[in-house]
Amino acid sequence: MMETEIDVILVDDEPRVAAALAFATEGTEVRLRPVQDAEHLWQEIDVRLPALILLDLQLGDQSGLDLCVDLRANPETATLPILALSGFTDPKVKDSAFSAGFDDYIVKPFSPEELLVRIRAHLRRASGGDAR
Amino acid sequence: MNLEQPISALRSVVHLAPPVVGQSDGIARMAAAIAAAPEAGVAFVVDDQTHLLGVVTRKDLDTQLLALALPKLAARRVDLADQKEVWGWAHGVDATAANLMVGMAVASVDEPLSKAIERAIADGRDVVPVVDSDKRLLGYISVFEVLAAQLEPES
Repeated sequence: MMETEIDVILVDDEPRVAAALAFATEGTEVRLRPVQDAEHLWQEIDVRLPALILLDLQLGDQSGLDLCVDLRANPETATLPILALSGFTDPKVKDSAFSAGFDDYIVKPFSPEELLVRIRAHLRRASGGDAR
Repeated sequence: MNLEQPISALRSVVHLAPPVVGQSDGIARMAAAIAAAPEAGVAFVVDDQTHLLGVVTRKDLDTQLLALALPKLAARRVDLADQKEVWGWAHGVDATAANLMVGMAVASVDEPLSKAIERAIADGRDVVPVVDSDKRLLGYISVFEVLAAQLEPES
């Protein structure tokens, strides 16, 4: 992998969201690893720790909130930037997401530019201001 | 913005991953989908593989909601409505996306943005859905946003 590439795991059970993210990030420094559930997320983390995780709040029968709590409880992933993807605009849902440990909250539908700006901003912060 | 470029080269105009509904989804899911992306004015209806099947317009859904919330007013409105609205109104609380769905012109990522806008205008729509090479719904383009962007000076 090139040094400038950003390794991102996308966790979303809807293939259309993975397709939309692939469209948004094509030709950019972001390299997506899409998975559809928690089990495959942990498998991908074992393969390689990503730079950032995009996590849907509704994963079929699973809760993205609970999965975020689990990620924060794991020493390996405790400090990774984790961004919520959600169709919910309710401030209460956003509050629950931040309380669960999400670093940011992106509402669907979203613009490709907004997504990339936020990914880059969180990585700069995570690396102490060093733009990757 | 050069409208003759393919949509894939003008990705910033696409609103990605809008909320969708399935054919059997009811009025509450349709209302939630439209409320989550009100500028689109439609709920996108997809199959299990997220292929776009059609849309439910806000106008048709409004008729349903009116029938539930203010049935007397809805009945008076139906007197003036066309046959399609009468048919839609009759579904009431049991309305599904399949009942209310209508067709809509779509755009592929490989075609020029100008063609997509022309098609949306010819179709009388404010937005045009964008699908990938597998016909899966990626997002939608707002006609107003594209036209308004033409007023901005080239940077």
